[in-house]
Amino acid sequence: MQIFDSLDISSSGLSAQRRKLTAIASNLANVDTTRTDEGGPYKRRRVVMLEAPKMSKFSTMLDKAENRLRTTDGKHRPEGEPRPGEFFVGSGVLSQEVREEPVKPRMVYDPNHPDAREDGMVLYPDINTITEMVDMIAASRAYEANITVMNAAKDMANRSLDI
Amino acid sequence: MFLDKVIFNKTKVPVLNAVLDVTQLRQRVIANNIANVSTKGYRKQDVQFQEYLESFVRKPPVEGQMSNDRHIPIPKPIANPVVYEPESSLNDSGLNNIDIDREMADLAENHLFFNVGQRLIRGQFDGLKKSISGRAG
Repeated sequence: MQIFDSLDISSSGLSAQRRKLTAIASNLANVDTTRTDEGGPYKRRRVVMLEAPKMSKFSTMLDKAENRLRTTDGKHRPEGEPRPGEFFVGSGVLSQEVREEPVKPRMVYDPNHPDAREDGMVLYPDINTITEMVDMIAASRAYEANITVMNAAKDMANRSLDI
Repeated sequence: MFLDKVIFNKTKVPVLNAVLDVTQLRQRVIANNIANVSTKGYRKQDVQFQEYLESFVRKPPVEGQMSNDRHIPIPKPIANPVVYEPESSLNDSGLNNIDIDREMADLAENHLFFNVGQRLIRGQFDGLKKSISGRAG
């Protein structure tokens, strides 16, 4: 339904920012992790955002294809133009994949560490706490912005029930 | 329908209808901009709502009917609002050209504009109801 499209768009933004926060939390929690299942130190998780493709809904496309009208007579009126609600403006932000970034590990000399190499170096993940903190602030602000949009959309829907 | 024309089309209802439609569309456009605030390479969108609403207020002096193929249509008041990508070289974040403060301000403005339209159309219908029932209050 058109009236809830705005809520769908905002909720895609909310889940994208939440996923980003989850990745940041994981990065900060694993700042000193030297062991992982696949071996080697923990690799930084990162969320990539994509704009959702501007495709019309399937039902709209089918409707258009099936009900195409032709003008065979001068008296025929042209087919109705789409109403503003039927315009497609994009559907938010899409499939933010969480991927492990190949980074150069931080090397610390600590020969007594159980994960130390033969030359006495320990490989730590290359996570910059400050970068993560800054990203966290940005993500939580973006989350709040999406909440504001959602509240506006809810209020508009409620008010249109009052007409 | 003649009655239909007198009751609805000759009043403010079509214009207010357009206001509600175009603000709903703009709400979606702004929501999309804000959802994509950290998308790399995203381009901001906006709606040409002022031009659209102006076309409702400034109606052409005559209304024409096409009875022949070679007739040229007189522009109708109902033009569709255009969703466009405004030219903006602003790219402070290095990600995209969205200014979050601007978007939030536009959102608030659009919200208020919708409320105005809603209140006016409600008043219109309340007036109609009163004139049907024949008494005030």
